[in-house]
Amino acid sequence: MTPQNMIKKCLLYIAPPILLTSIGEFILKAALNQLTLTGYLHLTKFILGTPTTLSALIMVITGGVLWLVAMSKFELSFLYPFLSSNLMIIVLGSHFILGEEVNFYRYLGVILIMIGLVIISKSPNKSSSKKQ
Amino acid sequence: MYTTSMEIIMIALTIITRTFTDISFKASVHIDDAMDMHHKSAPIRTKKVIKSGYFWLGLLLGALHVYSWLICLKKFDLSFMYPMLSVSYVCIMVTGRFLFNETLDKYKITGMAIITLGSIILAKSV
Repeated sequence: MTPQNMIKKCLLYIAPPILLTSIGEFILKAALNQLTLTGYLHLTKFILGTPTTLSALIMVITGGVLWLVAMSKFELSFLYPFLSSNLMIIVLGSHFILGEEVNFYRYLGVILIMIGLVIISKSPNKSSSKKQ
Repeated sequence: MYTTSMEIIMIALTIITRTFTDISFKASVHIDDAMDMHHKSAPIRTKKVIKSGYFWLGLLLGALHVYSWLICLKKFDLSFMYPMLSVSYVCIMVTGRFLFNETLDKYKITGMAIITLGSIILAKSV
């Protein structure tokens, strides 16, 4: 694969799920922050009945499905670092866009999880029973 | 923030439903593998997957996951809940070892241990 082809494929398959899941989650959380909760039924009604939250939910779910599509196109070892960068994007966005207090422990925990994901991606045992 | 046992149960439920959504979907294509369908065309294989109960179980668990995720997201910060879901990767790998006989090598075990440590530290951040 030429570098140009690679960049094109990344933009096509990896950028959309990252953008959809992070933007969708930010919108959902921002909307939930506005809501004063009175019951679980109320929560469902609010999420499904408001166009903004409903489309945010659809964005998150579509993002999840697009991750699966990306997994069928690329090696998992190539994808896992992007998956872990998604974690950092969400945490930084929560801090700077949603104004959440992200303390030292939270950053440390997230960085450890990211390192763990990258180590898992180095495993040579990735294929299922298919290729064996 | 004070965390009640109810909230801990909700977080656990979110992680467990996420784990078993993925396991069910894997089971639905695993049947496909076992029946040696690789040489068959995509529409035939898709039909087989949709006909398997595991596919629909996966959808049901997925819906349950979204619901419990929203309840947790209401109560906790996004910067806490989203990374916390990574625990499901550990659960998935352990379940995959027993249900699908997947190999757990030193990379996976080290990664799982570091993710677990990371989520314990993450839990301290609330």
